[in-house]
Amino acid sequence: MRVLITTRRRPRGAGHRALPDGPSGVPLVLAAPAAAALLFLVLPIVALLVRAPWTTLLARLTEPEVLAALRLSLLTSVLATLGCLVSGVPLAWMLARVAFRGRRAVQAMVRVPLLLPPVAGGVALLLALGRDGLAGSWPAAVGLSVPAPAGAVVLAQAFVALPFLVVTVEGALRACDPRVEEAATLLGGSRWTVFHRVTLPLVAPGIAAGALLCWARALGEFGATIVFAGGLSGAALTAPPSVYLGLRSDPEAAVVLSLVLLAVSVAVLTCLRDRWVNPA
Amino acid sequence: MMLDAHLVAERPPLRLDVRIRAAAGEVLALLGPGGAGKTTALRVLAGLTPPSGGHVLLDGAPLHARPAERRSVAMLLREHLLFPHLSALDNVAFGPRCHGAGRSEARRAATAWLERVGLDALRDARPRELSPVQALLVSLARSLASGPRVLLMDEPLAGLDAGTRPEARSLLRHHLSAFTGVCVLVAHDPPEAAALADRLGVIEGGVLMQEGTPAEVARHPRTGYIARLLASQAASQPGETPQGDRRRGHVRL
Repeated sequence: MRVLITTRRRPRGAGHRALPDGPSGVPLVLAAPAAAALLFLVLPIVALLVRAPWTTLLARLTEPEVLAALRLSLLTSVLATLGCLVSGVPLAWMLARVAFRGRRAVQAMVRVPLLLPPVAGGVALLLALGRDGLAGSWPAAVGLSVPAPAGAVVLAQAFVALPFLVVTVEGALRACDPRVEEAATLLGGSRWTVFHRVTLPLVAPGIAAGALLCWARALGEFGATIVFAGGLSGAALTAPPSVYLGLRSDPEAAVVLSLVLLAVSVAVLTCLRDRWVNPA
Repeated sequence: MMLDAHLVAERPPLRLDVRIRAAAGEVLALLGPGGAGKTTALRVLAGLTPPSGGHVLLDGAPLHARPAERRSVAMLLREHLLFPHLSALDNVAFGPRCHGAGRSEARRAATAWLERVGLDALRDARPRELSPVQALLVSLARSLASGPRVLLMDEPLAGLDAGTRPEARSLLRHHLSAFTGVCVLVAHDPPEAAALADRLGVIEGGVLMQEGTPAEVARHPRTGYIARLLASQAASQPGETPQGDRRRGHVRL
């Protein structure tokens, strides 16, 4: 194959204008924008690391406001992820394994929050689950509305993070041979037995990856949270809004919190490296 | 026990319409070119593909009215599809567990089945650690441990290389001889079909073209496909003539 290609290549300059090559043989017209893109991505992270108040980092991290924001973020994002797992895995299973009418439409709807600006998501949540929302008064009654900001934070995070879980798990299910499940069925397994004794263990790595992505997204949630969970005030103040507020009053605290969020991203990426960085 | 099935299914461009009958202790092999509907026929029998008509009767009782998990129909495929996350023992114990056995009871039954196929030493092995022949035997033990009345096999030996195939074939024949239910096999290799089966059914284009013992089919091939297949077999095995021995494994096409 290689021989074929080299023998068929036209001599340089015959018909095509030769582009100048960089030192490693990569055309500069490609190498330069690639380098610019990389720099653009890396420079802000470098800036964050350079400007971080490393000497006072520990003291900063243990300040009550910072701790409270981190604690609320951790609690709400974990709860949101659990909620997404409980409802999202069955939804992914339905989408991957059950041929029902309108499946394509449901698949599209599940992906909407991926592209919808989170602020608009927050408005939509408010109209659906807020006071006088479409769903009526029950969300408030069970503590999931504006009067209970932490619950509202969980809902906002779950709304934006659920697609990450569903899409990942659905992909894992599609990659797993349905005939293994059929074999389990023929051995006498009911649908539920087959699901929890065969399907779930087989897609467990996909579920773990989806949950991690979902959690990372929930942790970073800002737009929908500030709209739906009642602005930028105390009881709903997770880490990302704190960063936003802190930039005006206490820039160092904002940098410290950003650093924590960056560390979480790097940790998640490390856990997912086999799936994202080197997809087989 | 008698299996009487009229298998009708639409899988465009194929329309399957096949009537088969097989008795307990008998192995019926479905032979035919790729895409003829053999696998679809097995899937309709098993309840994995919804039929568009027909029936599946076992001793006169309508099997087609039951979902796949309650048909007592086991299936062995070319890819043995063992559960990769379970040990050989737990793979075999899966069927008994589904039928209500407790964990230790199911494991005892599974151990007995692994002993029967000679693999009790590999009880803790994961499927990926098994050789293809061992995987076939574990898969067979798993199928039989669920107590099927009908055993379906879709080219169970096709994934094996030429070196291990004769051994696997004789092992499979040995274990099948102890099976008291109905066995339906799909093959597209005539010697394999003849070695394992008591009767052959030739399916082409979704239709049963010929049925009979391997010797009968060999003597009077009714379609061009089967005649060409026999001719190519005869060319590769000169000097062997079809014989009328009905005992399993002694018939050569």
